[in-house]
Amino acid sequence: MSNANKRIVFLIDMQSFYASIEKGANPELRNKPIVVAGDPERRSGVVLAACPIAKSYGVVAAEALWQAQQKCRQLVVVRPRMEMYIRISMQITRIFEAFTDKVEPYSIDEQFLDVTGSVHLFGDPLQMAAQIRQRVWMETGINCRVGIGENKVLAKMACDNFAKKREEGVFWLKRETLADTLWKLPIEKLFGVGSRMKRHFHRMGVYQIGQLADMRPAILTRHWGVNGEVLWRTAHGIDDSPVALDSYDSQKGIGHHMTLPRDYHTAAEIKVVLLELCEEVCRRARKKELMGSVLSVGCRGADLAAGTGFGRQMKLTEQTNDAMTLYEAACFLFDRHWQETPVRSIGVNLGQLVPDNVVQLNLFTDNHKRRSLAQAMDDIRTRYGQDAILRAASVLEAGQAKERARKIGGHYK
Amino acid sequence: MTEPMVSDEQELIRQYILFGILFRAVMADLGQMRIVPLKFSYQMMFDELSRWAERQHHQLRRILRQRGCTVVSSRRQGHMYVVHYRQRGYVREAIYTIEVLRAECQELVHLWTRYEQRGENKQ
Repeated sequence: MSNANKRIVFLIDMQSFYASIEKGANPELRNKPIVVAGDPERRSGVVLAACPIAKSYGVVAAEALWQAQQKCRQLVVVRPRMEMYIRISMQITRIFEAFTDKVEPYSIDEQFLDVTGSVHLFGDPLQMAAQIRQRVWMETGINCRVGIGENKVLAKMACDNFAKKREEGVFWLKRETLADTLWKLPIEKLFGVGSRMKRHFHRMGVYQIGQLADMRPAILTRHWGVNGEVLWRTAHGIDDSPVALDSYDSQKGIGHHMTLPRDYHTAAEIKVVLLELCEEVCRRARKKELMGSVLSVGCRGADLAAGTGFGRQMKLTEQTNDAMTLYEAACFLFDRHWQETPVRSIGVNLGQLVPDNVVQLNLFTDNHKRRSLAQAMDDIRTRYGQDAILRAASVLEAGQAKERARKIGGHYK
Repeated sequence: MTEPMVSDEQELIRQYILFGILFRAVMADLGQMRIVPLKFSYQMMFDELSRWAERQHHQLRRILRQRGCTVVSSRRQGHMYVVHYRQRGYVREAIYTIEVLRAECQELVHLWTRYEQRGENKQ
């Protein structure tokens, strides 16, 4: 491929996103080791983000708060403010849109930019990256790192493996130089290789990315099917996916998952949460004017130990976005597969979505009445808040709906 | 990891915006304080702080103008503070986080207090 046809893609990652926002908003925290963490009293004390000073004490994201506090006695714990983080993430998207119209948010603190068409307005890609870093720093107080590549996969690996470790916070990973850069790294540094895949590769005698790149794709396909070929292509820096603005527009399923504050032991307790999850899933489905016909229910056991719990799905008799219909089906699945072991996390997913403007008429149930009731409840919640109207079961000790109304994605608003 | 290099104009614009917000915010706070019955009057202190911020604001505007930079508009949009400025013929945009601006203004108040203690603001 000639240089003229090459794309220029940036992956921009915010350093310690939540912690940087908190430090920017409170100057007294600037020279202190801080972590943003959940509520320790509700056993949700997990470190969501640690600032560079806290990281220098060995504190890492996703560890238990008590462990972090043992590593660093002076650690300042800040409660998350998810609404503000989402708002600032959108503000950063707007800053990026001043540089290119092709911006794809990858997560709350990472965004892809395709700057092929606009890079000439800002100098070369390195100068453009420096200008973006300047603006984000000046306007939000957040230090960001830029990975540059000719596609999304190279940009992502450039950022994770090189830019984050460099003083200047920018790295351009070129396909022509992969043998001297990416291929020398251990296999787990390849995008898409987790701890289990790393073990598989080690058993095969593959320790470096270069060794994987030298293998024939057919061998990898035999082991992992299409994913094997994807890994081979990633090792060679091949990725044709566009930086798309509508990546998340087409939805395959609507799901909700909840980690409980303690282990739930009885079916009655667990079913309260199951009902709340069905309610939330159906509310979102109705908001998007969708119905689903495949229900999945998943549970994980005490202390989230691997290998405990179950995950099952079933086809519903007709498409629905009615909470009680979904709840009945969820109870059926739960009763059938639950082995009366303690449950610590539970999730419900509605799949095979179709528009909800076509309804199968039913002689025996008054669907119209159910839809009107659901619509009225949705309107009340939209106007007065999530916990403005609750099912009576949610007021029980096992209920989580009231607490969840104060949170976004399980973290405080 | 080092923080990104910042151009002089960008930093001057930010300072100009901060002092502009500060002198107005202090006057607004003074107006609020007048409603509340207090044992003493703090008006002189507030006036002094507001005047200091305003002087800095105008000084920065002069420096910016000398460098061919003028602020075209600045207004709050929801939780953002959007500034448009003209730099060497190009209109550029800066979008500040309200929380960060508030925190930086608070820092300027601390700075003023320190200057006051050392008597540097009298000059």
